Order: sequence, then C-alpha cells, then structure tokens
Amino acid sequence: MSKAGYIVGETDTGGFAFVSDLDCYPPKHEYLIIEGVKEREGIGFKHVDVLAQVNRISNRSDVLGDALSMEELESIINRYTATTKVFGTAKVLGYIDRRGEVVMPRSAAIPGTEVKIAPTEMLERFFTKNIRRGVSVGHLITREEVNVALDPNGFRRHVAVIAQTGAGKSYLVGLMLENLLPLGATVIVLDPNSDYVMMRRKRDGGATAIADDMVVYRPPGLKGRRYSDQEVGGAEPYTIDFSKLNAGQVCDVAGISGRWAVIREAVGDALGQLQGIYGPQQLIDALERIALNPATDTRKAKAAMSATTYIRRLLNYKIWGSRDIPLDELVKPKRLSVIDLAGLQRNVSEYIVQKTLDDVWSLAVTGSLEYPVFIVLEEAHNFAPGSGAGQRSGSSLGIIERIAAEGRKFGIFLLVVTQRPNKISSNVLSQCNSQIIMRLTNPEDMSAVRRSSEGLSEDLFNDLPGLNKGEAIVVGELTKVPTMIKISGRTSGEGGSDIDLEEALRDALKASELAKKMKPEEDDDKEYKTRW
Amino acid sequence: MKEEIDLLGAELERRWYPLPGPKAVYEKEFSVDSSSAYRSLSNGLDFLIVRALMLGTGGYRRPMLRFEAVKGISEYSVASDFERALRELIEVRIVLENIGDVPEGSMVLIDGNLYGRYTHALRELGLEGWHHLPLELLDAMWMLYEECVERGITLVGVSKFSKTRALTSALLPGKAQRARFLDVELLYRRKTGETGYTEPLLLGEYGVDPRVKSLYGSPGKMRASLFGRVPERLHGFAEEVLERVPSFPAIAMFHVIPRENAQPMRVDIPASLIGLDRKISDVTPFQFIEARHVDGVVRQIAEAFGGRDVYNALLYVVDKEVRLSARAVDTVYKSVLGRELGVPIEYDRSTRRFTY
Repeated sequence: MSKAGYIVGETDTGGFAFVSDLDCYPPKHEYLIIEGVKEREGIGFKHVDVLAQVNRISNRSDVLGDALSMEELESIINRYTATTKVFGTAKVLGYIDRRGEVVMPRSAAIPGTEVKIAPTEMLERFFTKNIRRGVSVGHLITREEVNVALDPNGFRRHVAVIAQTGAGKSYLVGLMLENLLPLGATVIVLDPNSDYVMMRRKRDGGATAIADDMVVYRPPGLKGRRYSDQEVGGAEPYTIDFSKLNAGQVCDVAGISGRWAVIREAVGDALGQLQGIYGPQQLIDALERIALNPATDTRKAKAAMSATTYIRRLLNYKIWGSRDIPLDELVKPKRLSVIDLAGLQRNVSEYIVQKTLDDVWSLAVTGSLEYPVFIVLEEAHNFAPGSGAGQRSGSSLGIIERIAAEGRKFGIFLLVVTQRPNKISSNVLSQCNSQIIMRLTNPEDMSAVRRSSEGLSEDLFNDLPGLNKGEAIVVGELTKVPTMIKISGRTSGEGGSDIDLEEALRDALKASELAKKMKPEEDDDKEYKTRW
Repeated sequence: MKEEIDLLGAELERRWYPLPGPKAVYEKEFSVDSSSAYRSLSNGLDFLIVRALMLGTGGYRRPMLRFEAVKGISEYSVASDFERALRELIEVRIVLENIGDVPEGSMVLIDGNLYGRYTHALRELGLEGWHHLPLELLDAMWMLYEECVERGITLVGVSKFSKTRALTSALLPGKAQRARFLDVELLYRRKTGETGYTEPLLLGEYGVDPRVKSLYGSPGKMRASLFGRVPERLHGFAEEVLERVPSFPAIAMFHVIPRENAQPMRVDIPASLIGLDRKISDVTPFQFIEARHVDGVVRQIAEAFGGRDVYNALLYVVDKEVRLSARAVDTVYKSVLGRELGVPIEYDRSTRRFTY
C-alpha cells in the first residue's frame, strides 16, 4: 500500500482533510484506507480499516501568488520549481463488518494518522466480491483493476438511469441487460429510438451470447428505419388486434379527448355494430353508416362524422393486425424482448407502452407472472411526464406510476432511462431507489435528481457535471456504497450511438459536387438562351 | 546639503556603469534564506526555532532546522541578537553542509549583506552560555569562503534594502567626513529611471571598530577584550578564530538598478571569489575596483529581477518557502519538540494570549 498523506486538522466520522505531496497524492475519487481506526465495541474497542474516497484535491504555492505580475512569475518559473503544497479532503465510506456489511464508523480518525491508497483486495470486498451473481458494469473510475458488479437485489427497488444526451445511457443499459439476461432475467425493452435492436449482433457482426434469447418486435411495413430487419438479425411483427380494443382504447389511440364525450360515445356505438375480426376501416364504415342514417339524431350524426376524421388517422398506423403479441412470449424466463417503437406516432407509442404494461400488470396481479420481469422504459420522460413537463399526460402515465408504486410487490421492476429527470413524473422517479447517474449539467435536471435521490450526497451531486462520457455514479442498493464507475465491457452492438457527422458531411459534399457536375449543361443552355 | 548632493552626483556619474548584456555566466544558481520563531514557555524557558532552506535550479531543495531552548531572556536586544546570530549561522552552515552538491561555476545567493555578518560578529553575545556564538559564525564564514574559493563557487549577498553610507562616503572628495546621505538616497535622487550599477567598492576596515584593529596580531588580547565572557574551555577556539580576522577577504560591494524605476539592491561578494587576493586588513577606506570583476554577477542579478516584489527570483522563492508560519510553529513544531523532550510544551500566559 502506498502512502497518500497524513490526516490533519479537525476530523469527523464522515470525513477528514489530509496533506500530501506531488509524489504521492491520490487523484480525486481515489480510494484511501485508514488502518486501525479505534472503534468502540460494547465496553471495549476494536480496530477497523476504514475506506474513504477523495472528494477534493487542491494545490497551493506560497511563492507563486496572484499578486505577482507575469514578469515576476516568469523570472521565478524560469529558475525554480516552486514547491507545491497538496491538500485533499476525503469522505468516509465505511468499513466491512464481520457479516460483510458496510458500516459507518462512529469514531473519527486521529490527526497525524497516515492514509494510504486502498489496496485492490479491499476494494474488491467493497465493490466486487460478496455479491452473488453480480451484474458486471465496468470498473472503478480510478482503479481499472477493480471490477464493479451490481447487486441484482438492488433492482428490487426500481432503477433509474439518468444522464444527458451522449453520456452513454443506452450503452450502460445494454451492458446491464447483457449481464442480467444470463442470470435468467425476463426483460421487456420499450425502445423509442431503436437503441437496443442491435444487441443480437456483436460490433464485429457475429452473434452475441444472448442472441438466441432475444426477440425484436417491430410494427411491420414501417419505412425508413435506421436498421433493417436483416441488420438486426430478424424481427417479429408487432401487431395489435384492433378488434380487441374497447371504445376508450380506440379513442385514446386516435387522440379523441376524454372531454369529447359525444364523439367517444359515437365510437362506442359504431364498435357495437362490429363483430369478428375488423380494423379501423370497418370502424369508419360503421361510423359513416351511423352518420348517414336518417334515423340518427343530428347531434350524434355530426359526432359520428367527426369521429371518422380521427379514426381515419389510424389507417396510417402500421400496427394493426389480426393478433396481439402473445403475452406468454414476452414473459418467458431468460428472454429479452425489444419492442421497437421508432417511427411510430407519439400516441401510438404511448398506447403500446400502456398496453404492454397493462398486460404484464394484469398477469402479475392475478398471480400469473411466474418470474420477475424487468421493464426498460427508454425516454421515460415522454411516457411518464411530470406535471411540469409542459405536455399532456400520456395514456401510459397511470400504469407506469402504478408499477413504480406497487410493481415490486408483484415482481415487476422498472429500469427508467431518461435524459430529462426534470420532466419525468416525480411519482416515478422517487420510487427508483437505486440510481445510476451519469454526466448532467442542466441545473433543473440536477435539482430533480437531487430531490429524488436519497443516496446522493452533496459532494457526489457536485461531481455530476464533471463526469466524463461513460462515467457514472451508482447510488442506492445496487452497490454497498455510492460508487463511481467507468462503464465498459459491452459486447453487443449499439443502435442508438451517435452518427459519424464528419463522414455524413463528406457524403453530403460528394452528393452536392455530383449535382453540380450535372448542372453545367443546363447553365450553358440558359446562357445561350439569354444571349439570343 | 545641496552642495553635497551635487558633488556626490557628479562623482556617481564617474562610478556608474550600464548593465552588461544578457549572457548567462553561472550555470547553476542556489539561494539560501532562513526564518525563526520565538516562544516563551510556562517553565520560564524560551525556545527558538530556526529554519534554513537552500534551493537550487532544477528542483534542488535542502532544509535545515535548529531548536534552541534558553533560560528566559529579559532583554529584547539580546533576544534579537541571539536570533539574528543563529539565523546567520544556520544560513552559512546549510551551504557548508551541502557544498558537495554545488557544481563548480555556480552562484550561491544569500539574503542580506555579507560584510555586516563579519562586523557584527566581532563582539560577544550578551547571553549566558552563548557568548561565543559570533565566533562560531566567524569560523563558519571562514570555512565557507575557503570552500567557495577551492570549488570555484561564487557566494553573493543580496540586500533588497540597505542603509549603508559606504558609497556616498567613498564618493565624497577628500573623504574626510561621513556622508550625510544614504547610498540609496543618492541613487534615488540621481538614478531613478535608469538602469546600471555602481563601481564595486572594496570594504575592508571601513566598518571595523578601531579598537579591534589595534588588536590584530594579538588573538589572546583580542579574545579577552572582545569575548571576555567566553568560558575558558573555548579560549583556544576563540583565539584561533580571532587570529584569522585580519585575513578575512575584503568584500566588494556595489548597488544595482536592474530595471528603470526599480529600487537599488546592494550586492556583496568576497573579493577572493572574484579573483582578488585582498584581505580585510589590506583595504583602507576607500578603494574601488574595476567593474569588469563583477560583470557576471551583475548580469545574473539583473536577469533574476522579476519586478517590484520579486527583486530576485531566487531569493524571493526561498524567502517565501522558508517562512515559519505561526500555525506551523504552534502545532507541528511545538508537538515535535514536546515529543523529543518527553514533556508537554506549554506556552506562558502572555504567549498563549498572543498566539490565540
């Protein structure tokens, strides 16, 4: 163990300051050990090794002060390496007791005590070992050799993955799924941006270890997808049997507001006339029949005609089929089902989210859910908007809030992924007792995280804007102590990674030049015509 | 007064030289400074911490520390003399101890003038048990000068401010009387806005008490007269040191203004280190030497000038780094001393009131 400095000044049970030097100072976030802290045990004492983490490192020069002019500074710097004094502060993370639990000490370290860089073996006890079948997500930010495994039991209290765009959320969630699936997990991913559709493929094109346990569902016939069915390794059609929807569901998905009771009633009447298997066109026909029937009163006739306008929109939606996805397939053990919502209208996506969750919930509350189900809700702020989100409450909000509040009792666990925690329902976010937070700089989003996270201390909160891409803070029950990780190790391809803008612009330039080459003849022609 | 300043001004013009062009002469530079702190203890003792630091280009750094506990000193002047003597001694000792690290052709800068160290050391200290301390300083200085000559090292004392009248006295025609103007006042009046340096003046017996000079060649009498309270066991040592007094190298002293409107700095160099075999006793007031002898030193000092606060980069750094903060004394050193002595160290009430 190498020396990192000496504890100085006033210490308390939560932290201490230390003096170091340029040859041995620990970097910010590094883990330190204070050996043999005297801790009271009953009427006696025991000595424990306490783990701490550096939360601040500062350098000071008594010589190179800000009162000096540039010329004065240069005259010094050109001759001497002025002594730099290194100071740091660290917060105490705790020690591991006989049962393997992390306990905060009740004694403060003594000033003058040497602090050392924590040995790998100790860090493994905190972050890797003692976790049965952990979900590996990378390594400690400061210690590449110490892998971090998330405790699967930490998912029991719902998990939120929060970060601004480009910080690596989808990469992280994909990595968690890669490692959660082999444990036997049933995962349903509601994927609005095709971020997870490539998980059957390795980056080099080969099949991943989870390829056989994964199914991608897509509404058929949707044009302009980022990845073709072939590229994602095949997709199952995602269809909804229109004839199974009740009037309320049809109206919701068609965007008929709940305030327009007469129109909704007309839809109900029209549905009442239909039997067997039917689609939106048959419903329009029924509505027209009602509207054109001289026996229908004027008010209802107008409402039926108005309803056709809304229902006609549904004709463009590519999700109607003669059968729903068999629910049994979605909740199979060791199964990853990615429902690709990319390219669908917002209300349709919301409806699919609502329907999927409703179906799973119904299974769960009737005791028909045999295995725990993890629901990954990407872009969760769109499906579970908060009151301040400035958008209408989606049809999916209710069921999401319900699962957030009660799902854990029935074996449904949310993995809420969002880049706008400020815009997500606080009822959902506050129920996610485990959080993985990546780089965040928007003050409103940071405040929302602060409000919702019990485990996020002041110093961790202040670290959020300083995190690099792929770095995260894990708080809650996924790890024994709040942990700063560098995410790595994902083998599967990413669907939602950023495009190579430089290459895209190069292509655009080529296309533009090609277009210009085609143009001269026309120009010559114009010139000729003008001249004569 | 006006007449005198005009005369001095005219003479100064004859003894004034432009700064030499930039050209590094000394490959390595070192600087030395010290600091100290006094604390009165509850048991009637005073303890003094003296710290010296030697820095060098390329990250060289050597500290030295000395603790002394003495019976309570009631006279301020005695305490002050004791503190100054210990600081001057530790500054010389730190160079001596590390002289093996100083390559030939290097310059070692000491904060303060060298001539004053010599003249102040020619009288005993008025503190019981420490009467001989100035002799230790003289002995160490002698050894340092010898080592520097042998190793080709240039030792230079730089004072950022000096109240000497040596130059003005030397410039006065006839040199019959002591000048009324300090050197800095003359330079301020006549050289503000210019750069350059004064012709080096050799300081020999200029500042030495005539009573001392009369005792040259009689170390026993000298010891009895100047160091009468030195204990008998140290008589041999005292006389050995005092015998060397007339042979100390004369000091070449000059003033430098390294930038327009900068305050002049006083520079002292032992004559033996610039190739002049001139002893203190050889030099009578007032002899100038050719400016070329100190060209290299002037060049280096002008180059190390940083600005108003950084009068010399090397000495500025060592001054800042050697300083003993009250906090360091009252926490770190107090507890170290207590541990070493095996007793808890308690300040007296007045010190406690002062400290806290």
